[in-house]
Amino acid sequence: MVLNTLLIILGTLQLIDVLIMIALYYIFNQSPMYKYGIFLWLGMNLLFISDYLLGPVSRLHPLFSFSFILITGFYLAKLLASIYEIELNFKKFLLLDIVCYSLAVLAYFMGLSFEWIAFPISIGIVSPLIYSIYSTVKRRVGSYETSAVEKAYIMILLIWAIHFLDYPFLRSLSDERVSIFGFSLALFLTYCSSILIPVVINKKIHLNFQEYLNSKILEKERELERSKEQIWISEKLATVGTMTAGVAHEIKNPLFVINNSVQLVEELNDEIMDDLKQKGLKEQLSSSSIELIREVKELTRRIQLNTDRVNEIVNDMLSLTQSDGDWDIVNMKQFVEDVVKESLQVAEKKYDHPIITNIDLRDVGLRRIMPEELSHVISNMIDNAVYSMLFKMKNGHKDLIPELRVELVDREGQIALVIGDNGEGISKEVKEKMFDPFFTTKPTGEGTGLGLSLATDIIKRHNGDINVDSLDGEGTVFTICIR
Amino acid sequence: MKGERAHILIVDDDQNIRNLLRLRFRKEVENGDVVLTLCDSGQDALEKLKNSEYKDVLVVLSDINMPGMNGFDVIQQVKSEYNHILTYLCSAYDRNDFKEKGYDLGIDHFFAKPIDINKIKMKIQKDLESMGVDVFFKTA
Repeated sequence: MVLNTLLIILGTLQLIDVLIMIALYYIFNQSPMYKYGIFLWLGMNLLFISDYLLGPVSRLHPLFSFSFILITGFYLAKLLASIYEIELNFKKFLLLDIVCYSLAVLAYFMGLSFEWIAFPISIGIVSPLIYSIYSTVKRRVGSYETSAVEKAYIMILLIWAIHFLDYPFLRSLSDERVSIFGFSLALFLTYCSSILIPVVINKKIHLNFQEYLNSKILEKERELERSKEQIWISEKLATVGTMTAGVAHEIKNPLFVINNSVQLVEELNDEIMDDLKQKGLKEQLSSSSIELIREVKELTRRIQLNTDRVNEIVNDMLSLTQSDGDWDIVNMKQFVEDVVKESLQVAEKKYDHPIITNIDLRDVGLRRIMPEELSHVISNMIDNAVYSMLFKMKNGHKDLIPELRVELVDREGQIALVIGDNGEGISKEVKEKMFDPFFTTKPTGEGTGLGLSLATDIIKRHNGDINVDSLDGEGTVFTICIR
Repeated sequence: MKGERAHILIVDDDQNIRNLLRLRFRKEVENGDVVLTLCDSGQDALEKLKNSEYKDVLVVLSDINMPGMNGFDVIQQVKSEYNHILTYLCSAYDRNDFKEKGYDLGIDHFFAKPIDINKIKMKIQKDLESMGVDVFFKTA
């Protein structure tokens, strides 16, 4: 009578637990941990209902209740594993359960008593649970500090697990007092668990949520940092832009005068010489004077070269800050081929060194691009590559064979242009700054530091991006992707 | 019309540039191929054009950025009153909107400074030729 009452109370309590778990499952955004809780209590409840209906002590009983307890043991272990982030090999445990169940069936057919049938089943059910408790304790309860509630929770689970083991023995005892003790214990443990499980799950959800929030905050902070940097750069560029546009005019006017005046000087110089020659006076000039006249010619040539350079810098600065270019639809393969050929010719002439090339251009169809700007980018990269390889040769790698690799391929609708060299490579420090305007590693007079920043800008306007892959001392590969 | 003199009127507020152009056209002026008129402002140029002495002006080359009247205004005035004159703009502002505005006004070419003056001369000579005026410009 007492036993039946206890069973009814226990069953009701478990049923309430199932309902609470279902409610919590929906409240907490369908957290899988509450789903495991639902199955856990459902398994327990089915067991006790069957126990009540079938009546105690039948040899068939443990075999029948096996499935219910299996559900409970399985989901309890799963719950523990998900709370304390432990890995459980469920296949292994399932195999163990099947072995245990087979042993129980064997015991049944051998005519052995109730205890012998129930014991292997209990082992099978309890082992994943014991294992997860063991792992949890060993890992000092996951990544956060163990609170008193959690210690209590683990203790209760441990006693519960042991109770699963002793259950068949208690159940079969003829002395009802002991059975009553057993069920009282079960009732107590169930009661504790039904309170503790949601508490622990909630704490875990809370921690997860906090972690999620923290990562979100960090992400936002990083984003903010990046956009601040972006704003700073674009402000810097805007300042440079206004300055350049204003200054360009002021520079170009005197440049116009200098450039043409120098040319005039040269022509006038020639004219005077012709005049002297006609009058037969040229022979009377001393050799040092003739040398000086040659010097004047050389100087005028150099002035012209340098004014050209100034003009180039001003133009680079202007194109960095202006965004108007002419768009045209071109055959990319043909376009790249022409630009590469021309840039190589220019570079070989400029650096006076032959370059071995490995060019593989595939037909990637037509694209709408700004041909002038894009060819500027490509020739700039080829110039950089050649410069880097020859720099490496000059600096202790005399036997280096400079090899330039150019590839044009279609990567899932994106056009990828790869320009690679076996030059000196790029160090990490340089990599961070290489796209900044006015940053250069070349000596004064050899680079403006605008090339790559200009390239980024142009490629961005083509809705693409530039990637750099470089090993310091081994070479550099630039990949331009255009959508 | 071989042997015809080409009267070129140049508008630029910069003394340096006027001087430079004068020297650049020195040979042609000496040979009598070119008559060169240099003006330091748009107003000056337009006033001169009204004068009968300057009726034979065939070419106007103007700077854009000038105090008072700018190059666009000069070209507009010249084009509206003397449609036969070849007009050119020359500016340090190598900007597409400037070029477009210039061509809309009907200029024959836009020169971006710093340009080699020889190139300006070559272009003017070619345009004059297609007009039927054969002049010989000395270009280096």
